[in-house]
Amino acid sequence: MAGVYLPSLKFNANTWVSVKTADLTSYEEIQSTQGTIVYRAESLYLQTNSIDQINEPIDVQIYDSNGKLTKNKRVNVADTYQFQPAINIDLKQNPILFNGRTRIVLNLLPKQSVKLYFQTVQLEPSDFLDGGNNFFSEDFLDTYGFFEGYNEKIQEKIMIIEKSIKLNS
Amino acid sequence: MASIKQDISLQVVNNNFYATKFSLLGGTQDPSNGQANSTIFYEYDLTAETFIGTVGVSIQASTVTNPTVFTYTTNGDITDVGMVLNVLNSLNLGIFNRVGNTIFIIDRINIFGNLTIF
Repeated sequence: MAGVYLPSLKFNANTWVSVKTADLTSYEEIQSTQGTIVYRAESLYLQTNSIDQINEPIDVQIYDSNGKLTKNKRVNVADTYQFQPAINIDLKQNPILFNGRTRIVLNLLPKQSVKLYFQTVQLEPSDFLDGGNNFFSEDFLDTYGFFEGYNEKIQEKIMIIEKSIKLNS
Repeated sequence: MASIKQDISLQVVNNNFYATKFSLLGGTQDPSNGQANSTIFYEYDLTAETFIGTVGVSIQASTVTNPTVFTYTTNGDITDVGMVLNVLNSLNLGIFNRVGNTIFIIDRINIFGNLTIF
């Protein structure tokens, strides 16, 4: 039987699923950098508040260039001998590349919390330019003259102070 | 080439009484990006649906930035609630979940309207 079903809406001021970071960089900030910054996750420390939750799968889903989800791999497999609600997953052999086309999917059990701690190596487009890490100082500082002549000014100040000390002594 | 070690530490809490599939770190272009920290929960109760002669599903959706409502349709024999869930998830509008005869989605960016089974 064909039918039209209207959604019933529920509101929760405290959010239905909250995502926070443990540092000053907000989750929204990390999300908006995906794609411009590539994060290569080499390990994942996962902590939950129950054994049931830690044995839930974590799927890594990858979009192709047409925006279709094509690849799906599972990074943790349920372990019947898992007796601690924390696990360290080594991803060095098969790292997860967060490049704006990859997402991880968790199955969150009711009223559960999960802490995920990824150790990543971060790559930015500027890393590939000549100068690498020194790109900021070599390009930006030289181009815009930021702090230009700062050294000389400091030296002058020191000379004046030294002279005044000598005169007073 | 330089690379910097950087840690990403996230704490995810399900304040919901249902098990919820949830995506993370897909970037702002990921259609399910609106799940995180959403205060809105859309629920479709399909208990009354008999699935006799049903050959497709469509759902209305818009976004907070573009209020024009689009109807997304998918065709194929629909025989149960699980199939409705699968076809909704194939539309790339976000991750839909199921509890019994109810299908739900949490989203703060996409706005969902009527679900039609035809």
